[in-house]
Amino acid sequence: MLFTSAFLWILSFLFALILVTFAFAMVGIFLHFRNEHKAQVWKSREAGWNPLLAKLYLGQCRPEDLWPKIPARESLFFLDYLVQQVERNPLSWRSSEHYQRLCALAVPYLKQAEKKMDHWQAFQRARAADTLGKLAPELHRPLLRQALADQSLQVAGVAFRALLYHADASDCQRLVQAYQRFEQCQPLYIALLLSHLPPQSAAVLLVSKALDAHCSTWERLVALQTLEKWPPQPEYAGALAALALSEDDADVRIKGLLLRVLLRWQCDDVLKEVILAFAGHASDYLRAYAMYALGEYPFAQHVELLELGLSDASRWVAMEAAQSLERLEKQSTDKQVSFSLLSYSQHYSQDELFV
Amino acid sequence: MTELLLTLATGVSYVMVFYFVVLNTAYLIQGLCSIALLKKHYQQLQVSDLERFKQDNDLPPVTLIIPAFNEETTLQDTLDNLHQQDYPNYEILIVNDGSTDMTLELLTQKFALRPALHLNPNCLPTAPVKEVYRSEKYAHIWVIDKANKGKSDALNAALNYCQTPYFCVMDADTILEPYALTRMVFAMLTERNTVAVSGILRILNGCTFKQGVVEKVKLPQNALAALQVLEYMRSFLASRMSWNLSRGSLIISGAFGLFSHATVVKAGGYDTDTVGEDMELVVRLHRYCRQHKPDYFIRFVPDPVAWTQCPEHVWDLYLQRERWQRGLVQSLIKHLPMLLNPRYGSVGMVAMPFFFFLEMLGPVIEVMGYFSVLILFLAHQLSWVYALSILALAFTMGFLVSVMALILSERNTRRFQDRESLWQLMGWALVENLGYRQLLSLWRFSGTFAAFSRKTHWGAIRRQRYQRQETSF
Repeated sequence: MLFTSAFLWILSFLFALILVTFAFAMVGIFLHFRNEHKAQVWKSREAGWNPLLAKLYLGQCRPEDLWPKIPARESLFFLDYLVQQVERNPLSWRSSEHYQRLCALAVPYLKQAEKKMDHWQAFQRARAADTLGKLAPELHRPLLRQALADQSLQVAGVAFRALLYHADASDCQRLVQAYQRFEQCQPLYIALLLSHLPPQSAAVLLVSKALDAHCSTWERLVALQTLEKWPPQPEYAGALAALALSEDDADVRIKGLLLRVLLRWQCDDVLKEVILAFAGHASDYLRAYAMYALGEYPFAQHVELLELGLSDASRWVAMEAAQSLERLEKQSTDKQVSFSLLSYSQHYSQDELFV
Repeated sequence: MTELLLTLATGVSYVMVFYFVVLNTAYLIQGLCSIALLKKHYQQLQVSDLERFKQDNDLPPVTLIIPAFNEETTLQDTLDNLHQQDYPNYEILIVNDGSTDMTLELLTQKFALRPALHLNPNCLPTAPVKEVYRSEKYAHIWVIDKANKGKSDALNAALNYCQTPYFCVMDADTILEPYALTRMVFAMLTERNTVAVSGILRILNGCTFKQGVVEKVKLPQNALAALQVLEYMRSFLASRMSWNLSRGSLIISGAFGLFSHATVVKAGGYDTDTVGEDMELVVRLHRYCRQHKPDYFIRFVPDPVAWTQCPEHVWDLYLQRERWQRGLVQSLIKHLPMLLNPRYGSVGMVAMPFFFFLEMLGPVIEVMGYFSVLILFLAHQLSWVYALSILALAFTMGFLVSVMALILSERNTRRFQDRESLWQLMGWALVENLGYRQLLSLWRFSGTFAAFSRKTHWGAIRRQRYQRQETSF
């Protein structure tokens, strides 16, 4: 009896399973055919549009001449096609005349992207913001600013990036305030984006972030990594050096970055003091930074300090001292050597994963 | 006595049925989860401006580590391929692990190697390093020549010399797509707590390969290779993707993975006592990170693609699968305290039990099940209708899981664009249940027991040059 009921159960389960499997196989085949069809349609559309675009690039026609040639039902696809052209070309292309012409051609189709900025699906809003950011960021700055406050992080992230790549002074405050929303990213990634801000307007904002003890370590590291990428801003060197020398701020990662900023900015008047302070610091992390800095910025006592570094109890400090000595000897700008600090700084850090 | 044996055989056969149902249901659930995860991932990628990203001069430097032992056949093509990488800031560190063929001579000649000063903090103990070379032609290429002590030891030597915050491990026969490294680094930077990223491995056999890149993707003619294409699809698209959901991914293939250098060194580097050093490292990273900072992420991303050769001969495939299983067992046994330990969160409570009970003990249950069926058959105790129903159940579930992988591939990555490939893959999805899966189980069964003998050898697998017919592998 038990055997029969188990057998019946298996049989019915098997029957249901076969039906499901059959349905899945059909879905697989359907998807393949659908993709094939889509690819064909897209290919034929591209074949029709490519010559038009070539004419536009060569100046043989104006955007107005091409607009009537795109049927209304294909306008959204055409907009996608234009975005793809931007994505397929190298970045340098975006400062070319071809890019300007492409953007002019896109103008009438952007209304559809504008409409999608209110779409209920976050991905559709993000895609619309991406389209506007790639094809007409200047024209749609207010919409992108609005998207920066979108509840979806994906939409806000796309708007943040679009505004940064076309940043002007009026957006600095807004963007510097907004970046803390993206704490799920590594500080370096956000700093790479923020480095597109105009330094003359944004430096003051980022320096105040870096100095503000109430800001999170992550925010302060982002601010400092951005400052490091900019040309020298000597007016802030004093404040940054004071923070580096202060006893209050205990986070060695912030202090190490401060030294890197000062080094990059070549702040001669404060660098020596900071390096000397770090060379005798209790933290081997900062001592190693000092050894690295001595290789970049040698001064009267650098040989003695580096030789002391060679016999430091921490092998990281000793290695940094050795590399600096070698660098000074060769007077080269060897890429390999410049990697070292970045790598070792991670080893020292107690918490490098979670800054 | 006979009665006891028959009772035992009946019991084992029931356990096998239960195992089949649980395993395939788990795979199906993973596949269903992956549908949503892949969709989300590709949507995010669609609105990422990777062209801008890779143009940035300040992207973090990455070291590509290639351990090489007697790799004169494939290394040259692999290095040619690496020149195609669009990532702007990387160096290559090749570790010649005491090769007995012409590997070092080939490298010296091709890259004009010269001895170079290269300091290292000696964090990880390794076999002696004989010399460190740097290319005069390409300043970003380094070669470490060391005494032979296996892949893990070679990787540890490379970690000692690596000076970048991230390193990418790859095999000497792995071909990366030009954008692979950029996408791996992008994945690392856009998730703050990421300590390791795994890309997807695809099978190179059958593909057309031109000037260092895969030009046309085709299914291999060789049946074993074609079956492995389907297997890789299931494993990467359905299984590994779904582990992102619980942050419990336990495997990053040794053929392609990006790691945080500092974290790996702090966790102790690669283990030299296991043949599954890739899995062991990931499990140890979980253990280390859980103990020190719980908010870490080891993730799989499906868009950076690496191509690799798969075995085309039965004996080579046996050696590979036996070794994989040995590695899996050794890694799990070594970290047994994590099993069902709530301290390790989803890794201890979901991933470890999955790998322990289904992947490690699975082949044992399966093979014992086959023996039980044989015993019942010989004792005329086997109900044919019942046995056929069970067989059909296993067959259908196996096919369903493969079809799910095909759906995932069609929805997202779509590498096989011709209809012929689709029909062939469907065909192989049916055929693989008639012998191939059982054969794999048998090999894994033998690997499970070999793991306890502490065998650490790899076994030599035959490899070919990619361009043996100018363009096609």
